[in-house]
Amino acid sequence: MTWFPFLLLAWYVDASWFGAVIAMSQVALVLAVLMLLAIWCFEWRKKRIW
Amino acid sequence: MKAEPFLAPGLAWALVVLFSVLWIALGVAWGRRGKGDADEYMLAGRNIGLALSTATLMASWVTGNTTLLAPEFGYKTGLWGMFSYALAGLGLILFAPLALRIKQLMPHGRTSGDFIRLRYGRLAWWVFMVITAIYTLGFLMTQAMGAGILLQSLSGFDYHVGMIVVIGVAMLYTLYGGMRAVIGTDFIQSVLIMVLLAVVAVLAFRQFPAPAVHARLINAHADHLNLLLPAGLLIAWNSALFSMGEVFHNNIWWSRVFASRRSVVMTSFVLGGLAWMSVPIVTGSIGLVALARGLEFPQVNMVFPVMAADLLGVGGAALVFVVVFASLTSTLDSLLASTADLVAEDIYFRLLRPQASDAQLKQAARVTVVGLAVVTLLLSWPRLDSLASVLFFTGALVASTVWPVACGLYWPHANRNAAIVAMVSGSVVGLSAYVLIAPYCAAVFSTAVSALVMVVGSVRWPERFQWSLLKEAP
Repeated sequence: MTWFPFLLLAWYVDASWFGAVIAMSQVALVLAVLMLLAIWCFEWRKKRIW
Repeated sequence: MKAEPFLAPGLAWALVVLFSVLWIALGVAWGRRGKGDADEYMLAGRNIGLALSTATLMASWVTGNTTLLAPEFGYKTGLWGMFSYALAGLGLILFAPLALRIKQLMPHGRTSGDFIRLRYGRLAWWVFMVITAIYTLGFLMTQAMGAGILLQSLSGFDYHVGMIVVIGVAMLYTLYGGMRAVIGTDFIQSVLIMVLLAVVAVLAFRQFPAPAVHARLINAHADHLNLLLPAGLLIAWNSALFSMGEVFHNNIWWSRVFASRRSVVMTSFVLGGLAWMSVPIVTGSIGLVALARGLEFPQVNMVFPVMAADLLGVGGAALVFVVVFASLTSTLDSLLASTADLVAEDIYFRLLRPQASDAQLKQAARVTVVGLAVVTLLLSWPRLDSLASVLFFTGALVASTVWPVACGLYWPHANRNAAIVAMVSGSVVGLSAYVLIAPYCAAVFSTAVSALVMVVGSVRWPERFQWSLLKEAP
């Protein structure tokens, strides 16, 4: 973090947060696919696709 | 970096033929379902479920830009570049309650133009249609030119051949299958895009782990990791407001509202927006890997294909080719279908031939699909590499529609003249800000002025709108 008197000027993401952002975005993408497929399967069994 | 294509033309042609045949065959098959009337063709029977509704929102919002511009944003601006692009998903999420409201108020509605005409009158409709026409043509042209440029860069196709192939395939299955074909193929395309992107990202970070990327960036490009980067914060605001303007006004999204089952419409917009947000962050992170590796690019929007080919070889290039092809066709089909609906319903049926039969309306939509594809090809024939800036220009226009649409849906006092002045003044001020200040200020100024005019005008001269007027018979 970089401070000018009483004013935060810059906030650099540290390695752990950076890794978390990267990992979470990839997990979110995979979860999105699984969610879509799960909903599709549920609706297909109930004949509610269209 | 190497300038030759990443993928051998023979393999690229094989992939194009495989997926083109698949999309067209599915489109034709799905087009045979249902009653075969105009509502079936234009809105897929108005009863699609949550899976297809969510997927079609995702697929339509994942454009060629999402896979190529987001990595460029990550490469050039860092974390805020990725985040600001991802904030475009807010457009879908914030539209979710409005989508439910539209479904309740307009059970027989077909287009966004229907709403503006019924709510604010014919003059407001003209202003709205001019804005939507400029935006839609710009959007169609960027996707068409993107198709030509990308297929040329990825596989050595001639610019015009690539463009004709992508537009031709999207047009064919949209023509024969209508909205049902568009939504059905969107489901497969969105799953394909997300799975392949996840594979590329995971493999890329296995070869070049996140701690190593961070260490390189903090030493050489620390500003890319700065969460308080002023330019990044401004771009993020603009991105969110631009996306709201795009979603709130454009018939791509309104047609999905009318096509979806009422019980799923709000959930699908929330889920679609949330799921979409992960895409630009994942593709943008590939740009950060490229920067950390010290790679330089003659064409910076080629970060993603270059990185995929560099890290993963021919397989990576093939994955990127499929992702780009699916992204382009899924966006172009949505644009063709929903714009054809708008032209057929609002211009042909409501303006020129109110006595037209259901079959004639359906035929008008089909003819418009072909006409739009031909017009797009003609307009995109001369290659313009700087068209992205033209599309950003439209941010000033579409952002001016956010408040007239939102107020018109919830506020019976919203005044029709205020809506007209709000759209015109917001567009003028937004365009002035684009030219005089910076492109990323356009949507912010446009939305602010439009909101002010809309609220002040409606408080000073309130209307008493009867919501039942929106329940116009088809």
